[in-house]
Amino acid sequence: MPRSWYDRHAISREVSEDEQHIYRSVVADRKPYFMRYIYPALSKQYNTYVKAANKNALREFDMTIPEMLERTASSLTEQQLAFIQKYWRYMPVGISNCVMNTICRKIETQFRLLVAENSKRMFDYKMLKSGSDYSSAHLSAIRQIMNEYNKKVQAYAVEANCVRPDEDEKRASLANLDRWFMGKCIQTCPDSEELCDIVLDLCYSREKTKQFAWKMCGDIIVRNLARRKRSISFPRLDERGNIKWKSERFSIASVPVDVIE
Amino acid sequence: MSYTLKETEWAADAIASPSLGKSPYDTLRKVARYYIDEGMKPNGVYAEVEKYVLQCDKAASLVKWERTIDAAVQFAAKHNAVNIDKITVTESELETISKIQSGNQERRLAFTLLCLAKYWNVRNHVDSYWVNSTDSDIMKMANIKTSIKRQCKLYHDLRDAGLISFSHKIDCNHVCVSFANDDSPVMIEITDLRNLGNQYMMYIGQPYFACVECGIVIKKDNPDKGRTQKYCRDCAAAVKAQQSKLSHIKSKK
Repeated sequence: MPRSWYDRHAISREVSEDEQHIYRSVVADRKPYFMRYIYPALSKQYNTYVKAANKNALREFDMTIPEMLERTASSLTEQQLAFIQKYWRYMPVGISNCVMNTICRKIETQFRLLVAENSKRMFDYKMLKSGSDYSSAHLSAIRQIMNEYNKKVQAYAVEANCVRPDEDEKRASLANLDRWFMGKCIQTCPDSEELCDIVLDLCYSREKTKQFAWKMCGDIIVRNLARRKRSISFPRLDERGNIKWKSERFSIASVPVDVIE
Repeated sequence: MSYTLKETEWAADAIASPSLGKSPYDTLRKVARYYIDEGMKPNGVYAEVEKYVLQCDKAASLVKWERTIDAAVQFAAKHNAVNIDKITVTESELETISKIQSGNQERRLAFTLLCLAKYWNVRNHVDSYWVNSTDSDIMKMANIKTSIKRQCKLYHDLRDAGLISFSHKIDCNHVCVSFANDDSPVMIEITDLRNLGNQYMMYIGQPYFACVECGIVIKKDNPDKGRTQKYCRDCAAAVKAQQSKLSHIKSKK
């Protein structure tokens, strides 16, 4: 493929002067927008560019690029208009309204609405609890253990990023870590139901990682859920079902669950 | 990225007491550069860096470290070690910073940007006063913990005050410091790039102190009460552990 087809800088070297403007208008020097979902490196390049450009816009004009784009051209200063022009010109992906880009943007909008809707729903974690009382001494002791656990998991993640262990080794190391901390938790609070309530209050009362709760008391949480609802519902293949997915029909079925105390 | 004024000395200390530290890649590239400056050939440097990794962690898998060691040795081969005695801040520069109306955060940021601009000038052998550090590094060194929006507002205020300018490149967040003035008496000599914000606060008489053990400048816990603080939290814990160990040995005798 001639370089001038995909490299803007090669046009002046390889193409005659009368044809250069035609080549410049059709040169494929960047991948289209939707390809950021195919090439992770392109997605990273795009995200980094948008983040850095937005930061620059905040620093220069005290407003982000989306805020500038919402305004009409007449309400923006010359510098702001020049900034926006540069922003589109140096975008690492092609943002034209081709068919694939349009489809990609429609799907993104749908997902954004879905995610926004889901985040508004408040999750009532009390259904996971055993209903036991606990002392403040136990609460502060388990809180310390949780903070230590989170630090250790974070430190391991940094180490794993450098050392790059294989999946089995990673799984084994994390399992060892979980086992060690579980032992520490049981030593501090031998009553498993009390421990379950403590970890749930610690993890779910604020926007924190819930990993500690599920790793330490996952089986107790599932048992509590099963006690509350003695059946599990799931979609089952059914020719006359009302749920359609991938050209198959499903209907919701329930099975009773026996809780082993 | 960690910023060290005397990388050769730092690397010699790191080799004497092997530890990969918080940023293993940074440590390895400094150690690699140390060996290159000692006159070792590239193959020899690679072998020594591998040995160093094993000294730090006997269970380390060299196959998994291969890419990191390769990148560190290649970087070290292309870039000389940074060996700067000190970074000076002059009277006129401090006066300019003190005239900033907005607040202490802006002053700390201006001071940090000035020091970093001088660091990069020496490192890159230029006279341009561009700060090529990432925002997270700058804010960490300036001891400013705030939102991205507020951080951008700080830069905006400094730009409006004429102290810095931004890059013309749309996605480049580097800034150029424009108030540097070396033709003025030297007031501060910076020998440690950690906690530059706190160093400035200590200079203007705020309750900050330098740890006698590691030299880091931190805020006093209770400036009005108790004895004068000597150690930072980490060194205090280490000193306390050492003292308990000694007293335990004494009591056993």
